[in-house]
Amino acid sequence: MQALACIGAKMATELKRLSYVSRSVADDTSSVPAELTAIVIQSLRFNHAHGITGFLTWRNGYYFQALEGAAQTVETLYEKIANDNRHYQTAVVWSENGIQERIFSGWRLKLWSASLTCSEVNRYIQLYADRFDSLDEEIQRRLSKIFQLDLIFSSEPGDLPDRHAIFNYEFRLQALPSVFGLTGQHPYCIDVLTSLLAGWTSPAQLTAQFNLSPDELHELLSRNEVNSLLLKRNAESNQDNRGMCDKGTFGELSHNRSFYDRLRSVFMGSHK
Amino acid sequence: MSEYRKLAFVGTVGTGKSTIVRTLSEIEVIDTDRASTVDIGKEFTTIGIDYGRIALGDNMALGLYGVPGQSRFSMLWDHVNRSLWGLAFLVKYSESPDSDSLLEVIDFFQPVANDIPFVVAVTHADQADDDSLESFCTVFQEILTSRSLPAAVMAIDCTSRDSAMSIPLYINAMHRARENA
Repeated sequence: MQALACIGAKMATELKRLSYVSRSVADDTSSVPAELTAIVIQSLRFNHAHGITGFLTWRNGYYFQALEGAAQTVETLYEKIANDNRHYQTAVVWSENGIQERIFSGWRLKLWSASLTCSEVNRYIQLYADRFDSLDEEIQRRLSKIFQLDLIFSSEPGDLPDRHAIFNYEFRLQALPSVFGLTGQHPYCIDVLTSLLAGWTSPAQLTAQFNLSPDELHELLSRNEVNSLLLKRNAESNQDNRGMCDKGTFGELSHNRSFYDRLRSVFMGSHK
Repeated sequence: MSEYRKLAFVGTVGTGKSTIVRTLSEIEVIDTDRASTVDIGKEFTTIGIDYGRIALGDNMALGLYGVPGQSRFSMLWDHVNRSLWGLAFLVKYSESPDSDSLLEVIDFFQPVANDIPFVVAVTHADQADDDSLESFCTVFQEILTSRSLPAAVMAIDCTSRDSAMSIPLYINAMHRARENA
């Protein structure tokens, strides 16, 4: 009885990481599953309340999710997930008890696009890469479908884009969802990101154009850091009359006029 | 006015089309809001086109059009499709967003082929926390990527002029980026 109590106590405090793969019920495997938004929003609420962290990704009709948390909570959650009728053919890929630390400690549930790279997911992949060959062949096949970087590596093997091209592409993709998603975005941010989006400029040119260091530019693309950085830079440029806003698309705008007047001047400038 | 272009806001019921046109327009908006005959969560809904306008200096005016997002209104889409300067798809933040309507709009207007700057504007996002909103935007970004459509997904407060202005600012920046490409 005492041994059982010890096991129970250990389960409650021990950290576990469990990863699974499943198939979406969506017929069209080339599109984004219609149920995805609901799954993520509901999961964020649950995970926040129960100390679960991890990420979810999908591609080609498959889901992959990594869950971290108290062992008992993770196991109970996985049972619930496996019985969810929004996916099927659920299979555990890796399940590890007694992990020393979380990889995704800041992520209640990151919806991660397989076309992007990020340090947490890279660390996760590196951690489990050498266990890939020992997986069941069907699971290996599914993981290959999910993690293939088809958006970036679309050319034939041996004819991959150079690192700079990949970096540019990732850079633009990273910029879009996390930065534009903030309500009431600062116009300079729109300026910077539109430049990236349009392929108008490379990150290297951008750092020069907007007087940002590479580190600052990366910081700019990190969620929630955008406005504070841009406002800081804006304040600095006002002080010494130089900086990013002097050279950007909206560089000619005066800060003394209303936002609407500034827009008008942009239009007039572009139609002279 | 020597030049007149159109900025269309397309979205399904309750996404904020009428509100954003009212927020941005300099003139009194001509709307076609009518009392709802079924329970859609609000008293009035748009049955045609909302119309407003911004004068841009002496040489250009921008017509603001709020257009229903359902494909059965595609005759109205035809109307705004001529001289289109930019296209904003409005989607309400929720657990079950209408992504099918987005695909119909993309297929009809063909923004890439027709070189029309496009943006997805997420509305009613004030109740969403940052992580949920980011995930929501990621889903829509992936839908755009699946259609090879490079466009922004941005959260907008339709009642705020500064926030709503992000849409024409972004579209103008896209035009200028192309001129400079």
